[in-house]
Amino acid sequence: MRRLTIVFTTCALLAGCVTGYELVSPATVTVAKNSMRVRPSISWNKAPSGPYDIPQEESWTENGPLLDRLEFIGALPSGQAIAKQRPKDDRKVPVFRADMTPQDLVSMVESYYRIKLDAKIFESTSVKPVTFLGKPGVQFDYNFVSSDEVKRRGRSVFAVVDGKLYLTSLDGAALHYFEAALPEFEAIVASASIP
Amino acid sequence: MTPGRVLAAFGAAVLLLVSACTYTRQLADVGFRPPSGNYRLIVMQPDISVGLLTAGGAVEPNEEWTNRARDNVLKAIVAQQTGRGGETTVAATRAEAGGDPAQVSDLINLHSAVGNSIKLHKYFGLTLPTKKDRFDWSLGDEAVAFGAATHNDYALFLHAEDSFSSGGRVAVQIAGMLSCLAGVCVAPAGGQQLAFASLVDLKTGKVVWYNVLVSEVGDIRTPDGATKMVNTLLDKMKPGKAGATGGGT
Amino acid sequence: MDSSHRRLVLRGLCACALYATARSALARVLPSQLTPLVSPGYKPTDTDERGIWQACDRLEEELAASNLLVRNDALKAYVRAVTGRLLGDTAADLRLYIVRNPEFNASMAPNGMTIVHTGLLARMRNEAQLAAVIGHESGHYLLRHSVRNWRDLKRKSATMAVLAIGGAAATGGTGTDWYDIANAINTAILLSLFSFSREMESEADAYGLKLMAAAHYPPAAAAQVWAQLIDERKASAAARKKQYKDKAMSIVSTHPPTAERMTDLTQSAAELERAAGNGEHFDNRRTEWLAAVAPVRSMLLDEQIKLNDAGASLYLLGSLAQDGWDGTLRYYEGEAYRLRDEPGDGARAADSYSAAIRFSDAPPEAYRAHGYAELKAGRTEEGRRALARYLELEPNAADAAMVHFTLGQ
Repeated sequence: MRRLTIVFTTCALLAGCVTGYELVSPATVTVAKNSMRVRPSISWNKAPSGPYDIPQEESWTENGPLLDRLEFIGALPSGQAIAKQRPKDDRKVPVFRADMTPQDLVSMVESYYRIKLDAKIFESTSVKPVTFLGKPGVQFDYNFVSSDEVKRRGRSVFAVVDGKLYLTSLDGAALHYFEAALPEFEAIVASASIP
Repeated sequence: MTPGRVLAAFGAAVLLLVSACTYTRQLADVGFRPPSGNYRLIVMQPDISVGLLTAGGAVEPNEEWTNRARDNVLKAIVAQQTGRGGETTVAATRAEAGGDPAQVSDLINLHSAVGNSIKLHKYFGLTLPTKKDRFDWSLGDEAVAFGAATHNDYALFLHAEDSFSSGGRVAVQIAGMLSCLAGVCVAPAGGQQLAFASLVDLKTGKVVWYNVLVSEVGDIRTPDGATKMVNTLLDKMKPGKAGATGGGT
Repeated sequence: MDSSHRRLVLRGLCACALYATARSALARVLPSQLTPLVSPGYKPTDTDERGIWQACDRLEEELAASNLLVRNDALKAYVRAVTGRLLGDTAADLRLYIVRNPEFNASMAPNGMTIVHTGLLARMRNEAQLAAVIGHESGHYLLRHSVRNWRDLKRKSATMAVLAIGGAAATGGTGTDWYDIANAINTAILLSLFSFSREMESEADAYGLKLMAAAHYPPAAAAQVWAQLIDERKASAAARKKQYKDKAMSIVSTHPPTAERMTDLTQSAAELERAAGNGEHFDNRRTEWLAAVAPVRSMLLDEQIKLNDAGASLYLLGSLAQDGWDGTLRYYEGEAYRLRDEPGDGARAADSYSAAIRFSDAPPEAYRAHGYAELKAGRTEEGRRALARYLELEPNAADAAMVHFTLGQ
């Protein structure tokens, strides 16, 4: 999953640097290296990929990632993590495995938030079965506070299909931004398919 | 996201924008008109500080200077807004803002994140295509509720800092600015005034106006200096149009 | 210039920072030589010190409104009582903030703002160890190290430049926790508050011992705190097949003590204990500590274990289990193995969960974990029984719907 990086942001400063956010128009589009097809109904901003991303992810935002983020991870094979990390990192997000239980998957997402997004408080509010990509999946709702003090909410929807992980999540400021984006997120999730 | 890293890069942006003695760049919502008529404005937790720039490049906070600057800047804001018909209250602490303290805290925290987003995506060049010709960030319904509960039409957030070297102000060194590009900032040798302000329309909850000021001249410890800074920062609020308006003097 | 954007990452730097570079040995500071430079009700008069206080007051105002505060009154009262035992009347000048942060850290700013991280509470074995850390921070406070530090720092022209660089590239560096708020207010002040010289750390060590002994805490507990930290870092490094580095600046690290510091702590403690004589009864108040921390033990472990620093997790659990295993510890042991996910860990986790549920204090999550582990191992009946038990214990669990669904499969 995504983090803005200093390398990226300083690059944006320098003249001639071409990477930046791209417009996503409200139309059917494939995401995360064409692993999923979704239909947004409003325009989004697609973040450029950088050294902190895994190949299978894509990230969108409406108002900026400090306020809302929509993440896609598609066709992540067993044995890989949802975040970029080095083997010798002290704290490691558990890798995805195809035989993970719902609780394993939920705790994988929670560890990601605590390790990579600096969540100091993290609370699960709901874990329930849903259909995602036409398959049995999990919808995981949570809230968290990172060290910037902003209360945030999140929803991750995921399924394991042919032994690979497919995940779509929205997180954002609990005040206004998460709720503002939620209907669109739900529509995107409902529209999602594997091409 | 890593807001800290993002913010570090912003430091570079601010310095690079300094191409003249005093530089300001306002952004406003389309259709924004500066507050006028009878209105009530609350200044939220103004963050004003003044320090002494030491030989080592550190800023030594100075209690007396800070207190003087706070007094003068807040007086200048009240006077300026009164001149336009506004009744201004200053909430020095979260408790003084009135309303529900937990809600006020949440609003202030959200405003920080919104302010940083504005800096990132409007000043810093990390443009969001959907916001290219719009200035459009909200604090949401809770801000409207806060306005209703406290009978305020607008909320102003303000940060102003200033530093003076004991030998008088020295020109900003370009070298110091360039090192910021690595995401790391070395304090320029010489004092500098930095201020930013945002105006929230509490009837809609939206941030309707934003301004950054960087200056090498002026002294907010004095009534005149504070008035000048406040006028440069706030008084020249321009009606909004699609995109930013900028100016240097 | 907006100092919030000088990104000095002090994330890994405890208030008890110590520099492990090779330098000439310092003469040991004797606890008996130290006297307080502040008395109860102290207010600063010098210009620079008043500026520092004002900056600390600003920081404290932010901290007091933080969403990351632990507002558990009983726990705060307990920690305050420990501080009171150490400092007597001076404790009335302090305000305690317990902050949700998994890093081992505590600090006492010159204006009396006292911060204790939950990461510190997670690692203490008894009240004396807690007193050792608070005593050390009190040493910085009573000896006005921050002001002295500030006065030293501001003379050094290259300091700000050098220190502003380097840390920025370190790991993590996210958001604006209270270090960063302090950094935003004034980087240099942050340094003077939290980045002390070797001499000052030694003085604080010595003062802490003096306070401990006077309050009848065994001074030997101080060296134990540091030894435990080193062992934890070693366990963490070993699990990742890394070399343990004395001054490794990992996300978790405080700078562990040098051999010199440990020697001084041990020697001074021994002297104090000898001087106390046979009539003295030092008490590490382990029972009181265990009782005070029991209600928050799960929360403290949760935030450690879920970081999946496997070596540190298992070290911490083993360390706490020296007071006896219970359902909570076995459950988190299972979680540590499950998250570590090395070959064989599935079975290890399953064993831990099985052990957990044999204790009467097993948390409901232990039944869930046991249930899923049994299902994974093909022991379906036991697995379903355990999941059903989880739902009985926690009918309104956040994941009740998911567990029902699993049972329905």
